[in-house]
Formats: sequence, C-alpha cells, structure tokens
Amino acid sequence: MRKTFVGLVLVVMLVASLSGCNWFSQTSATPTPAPAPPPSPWPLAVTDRSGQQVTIAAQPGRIISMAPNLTEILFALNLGSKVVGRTSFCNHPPEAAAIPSVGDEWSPNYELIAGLKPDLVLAVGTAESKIVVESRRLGLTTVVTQSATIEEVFEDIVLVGKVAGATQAAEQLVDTLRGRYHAIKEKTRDAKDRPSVFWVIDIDLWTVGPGTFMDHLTTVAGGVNVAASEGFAYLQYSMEALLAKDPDVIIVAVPKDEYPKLQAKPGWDQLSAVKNQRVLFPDPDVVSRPGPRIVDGLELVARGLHPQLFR
Amino acid sequence: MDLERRWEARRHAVWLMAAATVLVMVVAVGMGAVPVPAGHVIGIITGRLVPAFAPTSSWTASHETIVWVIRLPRVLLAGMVGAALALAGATYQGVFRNPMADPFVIGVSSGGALGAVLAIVLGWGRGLGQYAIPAFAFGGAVVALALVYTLARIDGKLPVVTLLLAGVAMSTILSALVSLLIVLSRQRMEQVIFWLMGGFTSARWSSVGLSLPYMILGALVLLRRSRELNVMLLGEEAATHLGLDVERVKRELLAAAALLTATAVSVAGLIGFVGLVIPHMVRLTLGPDQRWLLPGAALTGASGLVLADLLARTVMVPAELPVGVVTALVGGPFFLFLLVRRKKPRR
Amino acid sequence: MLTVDRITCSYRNFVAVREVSFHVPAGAILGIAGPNGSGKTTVLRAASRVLRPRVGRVLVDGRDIYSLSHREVARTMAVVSQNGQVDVELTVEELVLMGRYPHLEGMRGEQATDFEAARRAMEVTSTDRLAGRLVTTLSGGERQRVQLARALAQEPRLLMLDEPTAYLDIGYQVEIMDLIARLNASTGLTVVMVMHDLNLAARFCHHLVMLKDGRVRASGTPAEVLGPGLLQEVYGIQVLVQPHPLYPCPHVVPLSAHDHLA
Repeated sequence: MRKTFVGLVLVVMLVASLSGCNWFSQTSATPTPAPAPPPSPWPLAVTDRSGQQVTIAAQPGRIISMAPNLTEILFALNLGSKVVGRTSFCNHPPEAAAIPSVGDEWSPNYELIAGLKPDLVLAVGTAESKIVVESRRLGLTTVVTQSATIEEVFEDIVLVGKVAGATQAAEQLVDTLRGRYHAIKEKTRDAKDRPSVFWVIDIDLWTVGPGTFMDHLTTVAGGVNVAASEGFAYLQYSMEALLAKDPDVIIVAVPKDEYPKLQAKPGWDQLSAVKNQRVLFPDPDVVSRPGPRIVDGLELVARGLHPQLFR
Repeated sequence: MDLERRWEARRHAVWLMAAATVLVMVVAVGMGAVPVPAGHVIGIITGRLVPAFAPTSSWTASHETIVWVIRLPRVLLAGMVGAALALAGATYQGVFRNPMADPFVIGVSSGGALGAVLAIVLGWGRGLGQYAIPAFAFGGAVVALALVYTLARIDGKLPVVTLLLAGVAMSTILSALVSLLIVLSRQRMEQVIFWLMGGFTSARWSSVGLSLPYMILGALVLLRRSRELNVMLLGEEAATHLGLDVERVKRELLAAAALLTATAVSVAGLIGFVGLVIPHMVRLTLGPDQRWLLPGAALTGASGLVLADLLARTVMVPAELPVGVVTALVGGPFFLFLLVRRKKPRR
Repeated sequence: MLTVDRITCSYRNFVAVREVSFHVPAGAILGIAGPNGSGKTTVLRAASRVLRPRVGRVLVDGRDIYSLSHREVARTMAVVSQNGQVDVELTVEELVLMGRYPHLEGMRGEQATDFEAARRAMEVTSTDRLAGRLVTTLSGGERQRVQLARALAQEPRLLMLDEPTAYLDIGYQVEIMDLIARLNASTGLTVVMVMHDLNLAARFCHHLVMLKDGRVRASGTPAEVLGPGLLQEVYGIQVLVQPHPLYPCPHVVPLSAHDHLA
C-alpha cells in the first residue's frame, strides 16, 4: 500500500514536472490581425491604469465587465449589447440584469469567464488584483481602470470608450459630464462656509478617511470630511466620537432598509445634523460608484451641503 | 492466519481508496460551470501530455483554457492539499494521542494566516509578485512553529502537553494580530477574508509545481514512519521501552506534518475540517493501525477535498462557495452518520 | 546482568531517589519493595532508560545503558509498566506483535520468525484464545497477561515489571507470579519487579531491595530483609513475621495499631 501511494505521487510528479515544458504555455496567443484599411484604429495599443501596455486586436464584440461602474459606463456608451458577462453587483441600468453573471467581483467563476470567450475583459484594480492576474493568466485581453477622483472617472470613461470602440460617444459623454462638474465646482468654490461632513457607509458607523472617493466628493462639493485627517482610508467611529465631532451634515450611504436600525442607535437623536434635519440619504451606488452617474451624486451632495447655492 | 487476512483486507481497502481517488479526480476534471464534453477533456489532456498523439482538435481554445489552465491544476492542487492536511491531522492525532488534534493545532495555521495577511494588507514582498502571499504564508507558518517548539522545549524534550498549550496560546495571539490587521484595513478586508476561508480559485500549474516537492517530502517521511507512529500510540514511555527514540521520532514526525500543513496553507489558505475529520473517518473503517491509516487518510483527504471543491464550484454557479463551507456542511453529517452507525462494536 | 550504580534521580527539584545501588545477577528474581512514595517506580524507570539519573549509572552486562541504542536496550530488556492500559483499538495479536518492533530491520515488515515469537508469547501467557479481541475490551487480568505477552514477544533476557499483581484478584495474582517463576526457572529469564505485597515478594523473589525515602534501607534475601524491626521502621506499623507454613520463606502479618501482641 505504501507502494501504491508512492506510485500515485510519482504519477502526479510526472504530470507536474511537465510544467517546465511548453505544454503549459497559454492557449490563446494573440493572433495577428489581417491588415486593415488605414482609418481603422485596430489593432489598438493602450496603456491601462495598471501600467500595462495592452493591444486590442479588433473591435471587441464580447466584453465582460468585472465591476458595476464599468457596466454603467458601457451601457452609457450604448455598448450594452456587447456585454456578455457582468458581476452579480452590476445592478444598473436594469437591462444589465439580463446579462449572465460570472459571480461577484471578489471571487468570480473563472471557468465561466473563460467559457464566455470574451475578447475584452474590463476590470477595476491594479496589476496585482486577483481578477486582473487571473484574467491575464487565462490569456484574456484585460484592461484595468482605477479612479480616485472625478477627473479620473472621466479618464476611465474615455479609456473604456477607446478600447471598446466608442471613442466618440465617450468623449461626448465626458464633455457633458465635465460641463456639469465644472458648474457645480464653481458654485461650491465661492461658498463661504465649509460644513463638516460625516459619511456613514455601514450602520456600525464605518466611515471614509483620506484618499477615498467619497472624501474627494466631499471636498469638491464644498465640505470638509470629519475623518479626512485620520490615518486610515476606512475606519470605524464610536457614537461617542461622532457626538464629539458633531458634524454639520451626515450622509447615510447604506441600503434603505437599514435606516431604522441606524436611527435607533442611542445618541443618534442628539446629533446636531439630525436635530437640524441635515442628514442626506442618497442611493449609495450613486455617490460611491465611479461611473457616469457620479456627477448626479456630486450634485446631490453639493445641494445637501449648500442648499442656498442651488435654489 | 486470521491476522494476515485482516491485514490483507485493509491493504485491499487502501487500493480501493486509491482507485476511488483517481476516479473522483477524473470526474472532477470533467465537470464544471461550463460543460465540456468528456471526449474533449480527454483529447485536450492527452494532446498536452503527449503532443505526438494529439487528436485533431475539435474543441475551442476557451475549452482548452478551461480544462488545462483552470480545472486540471485546480483538481490536482485540491487533491494534494487534501492529502497533506489529512496526513498531518492523522499524525498530530497520533503523536499527541488526542482525537481533537488537527493540522492547525500547534499554531501553523495562524502563523500562515498572519504571514499572508501581512503580504495582503501591508504589501510585504511585493517584489515576489503573485508568490508574495504563498511565500509569506509559508514563512509565517514556519516561524510560528519554530517559536512554539522553542517555547515548549524542556530539558531537550518536547512534552506533548506543553507543546499543545504553547500552540494554543501562540494561535490565539497570532489570530488576534490577524484580526487587528483586518480591522485596520477595510479596503483589503474582502481579500483577506477570502484568503482566510481558503480555496482553490487561483490554483495554477506553478502552485502545483512549487508545492509538490514539499508535499512529497513530508508525505514520504510520514509514510515511512507509520510503524513508529503505531508504537507511539502505546504512549511515550511504552514506546521507549519498545526501543523507539521517542524524542527524535517525534521531532521528525512533527516537522514533516508541519511542512505539509505550511505548504497546504500557503497555496490554499485555511481549509478546516479535512485534517480533523478525515483521519477519524478512515480510522472508523480501517482501524488505528497507522500503516493503513496514513495512506488511507491521504487518499481519502485527496478525494474528499477534490469532491468538496467540485461541489463548491458547481452547486451555485456562477457563485463559488468557500470550499471550507462545503467540507463542513457535507463532511460533518457524513462523519456523524459513520459515528452513529458504528454503535455495534467493530471486530 | 543489571547493575544500578549510585543513581540519584529527580523530577524538577524534587529528589525521588538518592544514591541507590544494587546488582541483579543473571537468572535472578529481584524484588523492589518499600512504602508508597519510596522511589520504587522511579528506580525502575531509571533502570529502563526512561528517566536519566542526575548522578550515577545503570549498567547492562557491564555497559552503560546510555552507550546502547534504544533498540539494543529493548532487545535486552522488556518492561511491563503499571499503567499499561492501551486505549487504542488494536487486537491482542496486533499489540503483542508490537513487541517485535525492536527486532524489525529497516523497512521490512514482520517476518515468519516475528509471528512465531508472538504466537509463542501468547501461548505461554494463555492469551492465544484472546488473539482477535480488541485490547480495549479486556478485563484487568487479561490485560496484564497481554502486556506480559507483549513483553515476552520482545524475547528479552531481562524482564521488568511494575507491580504485576496490582488490581488483580488473588487467583490472577498467583497465576501471574507462577508464570513469571516458571519462565525464570525454565529459560533463565532475569526478573526485576516492584512489589507491593510483601508475602508474594517473599515467596517469589530471590533477592529483595527495601527502599525508604528514596534510599536503600536494606537488601538481601527475603529472610534477611523482612525482619519485624526493619518493617516497623520502614512502614511505621508493628508486624508479626513467621515462617511460612508451606513455603520456605518468611510470612508477614501486619498488625493493627491497638493489637499489642507479644
């Protein structure tokens, strides 16, 4: 029986020892495309946000979106029909629900991803993000986006438009969004007061610190994030600490059904923002998702902070 | 002789387990979220292994990717990790003569977890690229083990009770550090938690190739020492009387089991239950003789974890269940069933 | 055969045995007696290489026991300890066969000679009919005989036993002691045993070592050692020592504190 096991081990070893050989090379080598007429942008080489130079052989027809903001961007660019896979978090626009899901953003089903035969995978992250590493390992053309500011969202929209073959639509969309963005920014820049803001991203009073998208949104909207000087991007406040800071405005970015639990917390009623009815309850996706709706989110926050400027 | 018939029967049972393991692995390679016809699966694998015999490929490149790049390494890695954890668990249960012992009992797992979390949260070892997390997990496990050994040593001996207590204390401290790091880094929390739950979603040929030498080394040491482990079941003093250099053999066994555990943890995260329960399951069918128990546990651990991973990736497509959830939910009741059914004494 | 040379043993900082010496000639049966806590078991553990003495040596056939390998020691001496209860679900036959461990060579398993030795050991101890039973299901007397069979399967020249009659009824007590005496007489097996029962010791041992507070208080033949004065000093009670009515050895009758017999 010991021999059995050793035998089994040897078989496994044999199989694995082949890993040095070319049998383990990736399956899908990038095919050289046929020479295209001069005006065609394909093949297209771009440097994505992970710093990787990516070549897109031809106009993608089968796109997998690995983040909800990317799905929103693709639909906003009228590319919804080319999306063959999405994450289970992709809930907007409602039409996205008809596209097959490949699992959630953190642990998607890679077999499904490969099985959908995508010619473009769009992801949010860095070169080290698991989804990026795995997708590239599978030999899939993978473009990475990453935005920490609204300007970067615009850049990402342009990048997505470019790699997905909708450059013009992307530039038009960004022009519109940028116009609205600057209008809001101009208004809030002149605001005399800078109300202090506390974000609730989880009913246990988790909030956002420096370097986060919502911190940035607060600044642009003409407010000061009370957790902006904390050492962490995400951190938890106690009700005591929150009462001590007593922010002017509270933004509750949690699902609707959790509002009552938050409002029942001892001390909540004592907060000035609650007493003065300066608590905002936006759709969390609109204020946190770095997609085309972000300017809506910004406007919502700015309006909440400076109602007098938006009469 | 009656005894020889019994041993013969056990030998056959182990062979049967080996056959079942191979079968389970074949089935697991053939099944997945995306259906690939069996003929294609065979064609793809033979084509890769023996290019000369490569059948004309009637399958798509994506099927080839699914079978060769995703499934096969995943199944092999699950099998190796299952075998390693079950072997380590059986060894610890034998050496400590404690049925509650599992591969994680002397702090190896929490050391590995801390190493991995340091790599994930603080970005240590970024230069190692995709190997940073496994490398740090392995390093953490080895450092934790070395600490526990050093603390538990008394007069050149390694008393079992001290070792267990030192291990439990070390685990507690390290787990607290892991929790602290998680709380301090909400951004990476998901990544950390997925790592801690363990699994094979990022199994690849390089992880199979990197962990195989350690696994073979650890397994060979343990399988060669099965007779010594048998003698140790009688107690350390009795084993000494039977001519066993108990301290030396114990060090060797614990080091080999720890090597297996550390390797398993580094490539698959923390997968519970396998190392605790598989040895008990095998003991219920093959008896306590380590000469059958160790290979039996390795094989059952391998097929069990491959099966659990198969369920994890096929039951709730597109979502994947954490494999630890499957091992506990399916393995737990099955183990209880064996336990209850065994009310009549085994002969 | 076995020489214990001025050994001192301690657990942490408690000294259990001080400067104990005795010699066991080949073919002898030596009994170690003494009250609870006098160091009997400690002496046995030191003599069997489980506990290393702080000072002093243990010699087997004139060689320091620590110069021998574990296997060499186990092929020379076998030990039946007091807490020999096995909670592993092995059959009697499998347990007895484990006695062959020091004789197994390299990776080779049990050979015909090993099965033969185990079979003989079970026959001698009348445990052959228990061969297929699980050791966890045995009675106290059966278990003691199985442990003895396991020790005999080692084919030792020296057998050490720690209170072989503890927990046994008088029937089993005599059966075990007779068996040991028979093995000693027929094969020249040297025996060292810790004895609680002075009368069994007197009847079966050729030599007695009496320990008190970790030291040797007296040693010699049972008749020399088992005097009323010494026993009163060692055990703290009065005893009556008479010649045994049937066997050529002394017979000890312990007296209650209020019985003042002349």
